[in-house]
Amino acid sequence: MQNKYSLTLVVLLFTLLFSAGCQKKQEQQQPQQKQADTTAVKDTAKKADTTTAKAAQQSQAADLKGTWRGTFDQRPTTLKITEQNGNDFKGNITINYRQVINQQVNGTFDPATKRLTMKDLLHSRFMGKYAGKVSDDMKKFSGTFTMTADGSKFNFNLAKK
Amino acid sequence: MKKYFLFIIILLTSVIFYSCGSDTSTNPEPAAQKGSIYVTSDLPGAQIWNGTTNTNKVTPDSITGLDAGNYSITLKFQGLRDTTISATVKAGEKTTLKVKLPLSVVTFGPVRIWETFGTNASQPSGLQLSTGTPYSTSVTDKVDLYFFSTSTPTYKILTGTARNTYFFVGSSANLSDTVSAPLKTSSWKQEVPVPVTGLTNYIFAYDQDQHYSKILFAIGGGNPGIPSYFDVTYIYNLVPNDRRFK
Repeated sequence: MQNKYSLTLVVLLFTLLFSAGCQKKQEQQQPQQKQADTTAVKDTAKKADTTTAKAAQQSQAADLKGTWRGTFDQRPTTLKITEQNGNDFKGNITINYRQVINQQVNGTFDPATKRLTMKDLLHSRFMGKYAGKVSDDMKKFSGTFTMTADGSKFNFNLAKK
Repeated sequence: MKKYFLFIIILLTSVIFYSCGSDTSTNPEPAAQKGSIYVTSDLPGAQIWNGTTNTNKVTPDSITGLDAGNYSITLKFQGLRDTTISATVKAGEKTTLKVKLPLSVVTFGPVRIWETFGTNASQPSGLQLSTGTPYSTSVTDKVDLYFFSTSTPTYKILTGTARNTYFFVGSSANLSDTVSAPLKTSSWKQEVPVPVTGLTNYIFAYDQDQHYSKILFAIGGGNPGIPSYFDVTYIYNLVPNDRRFK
């Protein structure tokens, strides 16, 4: 009878010890998990921050408003971008041919590729589309104008003042 | 004494009367019976011929010592048809002939010349006045004037680089108004500024060969792909230094 009690006690003791051991191990594993979770969050946050910063940077750099001066078909030219909504903009362009061209334009800028396209809005024999690229520092815009009527092309080079 | 004095007076009077009578008798054809013809022409410098005889005079001038009667006067001017006119001379009178010489002009145009900026070899900027032929400005021995321009844009009518042409802006846009060119003076310029709207009035030109022209410049172009140009129409006087255009 005594042996029966002794055996029961020993088993109980072992069970307790084992149970206690497992709990400790679990407690030890939990902080590791927590640490992993925190790192992941931190990484995500960091990524998000970087993306936001980049976007902000791009958004800031993509300020196209202002006066751009240069030449169109070697003629003195002024492009004034007066309104900007995101990457879309509106303005007017003046090209000093003998018969001066005053056109309203609107266009779009793609920050990723730095490509800028715009088109004449006022109906004219000489209306057309402009396609070009803005320099990395967002100070220069050069490209080609294609006349709608006959497809003739003219180069332009503008710099922001 | 009185008798002597009277005698001398009578003697002198007789001598004077005798002298007068002698002159009249030796010159039966007094100068007053001759006549003359004064010839003038709208283009000075024409040779004056009396019949088939060259008087060696040029207009304006007179043929004097002519007997009363009818004469055939011919004016000759190099480059022009001869002009013959009949004149009647009366004794002691001067007959005046005002002769209008024929005009020798040719009208050219419209001839298109292009601005110098932004054009190519197929768009000549120069013009030879005597033939109405457009030339590139590089053909300096032909070009009397050309259409100069810059990108600004600035426009001018300029003299040829090797041939001197002078300009005077007229007061009308009507090329057929028959107005003669003023005499070329130092006030004539070798360039004419052109407003972007073009030139309204015609321009007189006096070229290297001393010919006068009356030129109308009609501006065009000045758009993308179409440089500015002038369609030039003009009257060219074939006779050097003849300023007439009627």
